[in-house]
Amino acid sequence: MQPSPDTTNKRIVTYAIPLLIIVVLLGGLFMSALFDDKPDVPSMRENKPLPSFSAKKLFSDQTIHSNDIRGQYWLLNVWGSWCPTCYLEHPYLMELEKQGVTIVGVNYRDTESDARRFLEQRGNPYQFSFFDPKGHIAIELGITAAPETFLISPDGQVLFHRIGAMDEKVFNSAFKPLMEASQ
Amino acid sequence: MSWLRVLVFALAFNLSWASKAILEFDSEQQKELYEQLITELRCPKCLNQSIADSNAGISDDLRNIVYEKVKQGQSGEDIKSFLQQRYGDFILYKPEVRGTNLILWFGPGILLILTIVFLVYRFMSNKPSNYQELSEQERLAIDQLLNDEESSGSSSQNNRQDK
Repeated sequence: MQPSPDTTNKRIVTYAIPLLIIVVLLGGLFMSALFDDKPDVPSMRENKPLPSFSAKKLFSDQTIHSNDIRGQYWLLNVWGSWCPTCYLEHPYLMELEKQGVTIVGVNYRDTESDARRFLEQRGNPYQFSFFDPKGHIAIELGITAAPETFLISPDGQVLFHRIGAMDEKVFNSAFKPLMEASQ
Repeated sequence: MSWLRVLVFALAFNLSWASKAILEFDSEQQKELYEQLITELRCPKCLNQSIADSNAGISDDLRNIVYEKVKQGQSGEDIKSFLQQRYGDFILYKPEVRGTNLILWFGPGILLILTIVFLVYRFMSNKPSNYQELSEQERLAIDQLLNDEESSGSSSQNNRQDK
């Protein structure tokens, strides 16, 4: 006996529509995850004051404090001579420094001799660098690796946190608009 | 060449020994707390590893900071809260039962209950899944068949009584 057309329609409603909804939802989830450029780790420091920390100044016995990063826009760049991506982004940091952008470094998990060699060979874009061999400042900032770059406002607020390399596209799209907004 | 074997063994032993720093604790409770925390904290660099399993530099730093704080006598909750302020819920393998985390905690259970309710409803339903109404024509045909059956049944009964 052949099922009547009414029965076939009921089966479609019972099985096919829920299946379709599930497929569309899973498809949407998959596509959003595929094109989502957000890092997995949330930046807990954005839109908050720069945490207070102090450390030895790189290549000096002087102690420097996070309060020294005030009065203008600063890029705070976490770097290390052991970090391959730091080599990639370094030429652009040199370019930014030539353009008048003020950059402060956090030399992370490094030795002073390796850091010196790195900067002597490739140039020094930093006004000064905090020496952070054990990662205390890095954890205070909530970083996951190097390089990472923070934009600090003149009154010491963290406006943006970039996880990964800095380049022209990132600077122009994320950093520059924030720096120009209040000028 | 036995001296060479001894040298290789000694080197290998030293390397494996050196790969893990020996940590000293003031009590067995501190050691247990440290071991528990490093397995409950997630490496922020590598997606599915605890800081105990990960070789990433940041995991090494996080283990060190956990060690320092355990040695200072801080509680597990204080240490987790300190890291949560810097890395968010991401750092916790066991997220707190609050806010959007409620979906993580109770979502699968609710889905399971809904599925069971749906299945039970389907099975308890009296109608079989291939149930379909008879058309008028089919009903008449069945009545006809039943009538024929009844009439032939009663005539054969009469025949037996006659004998």
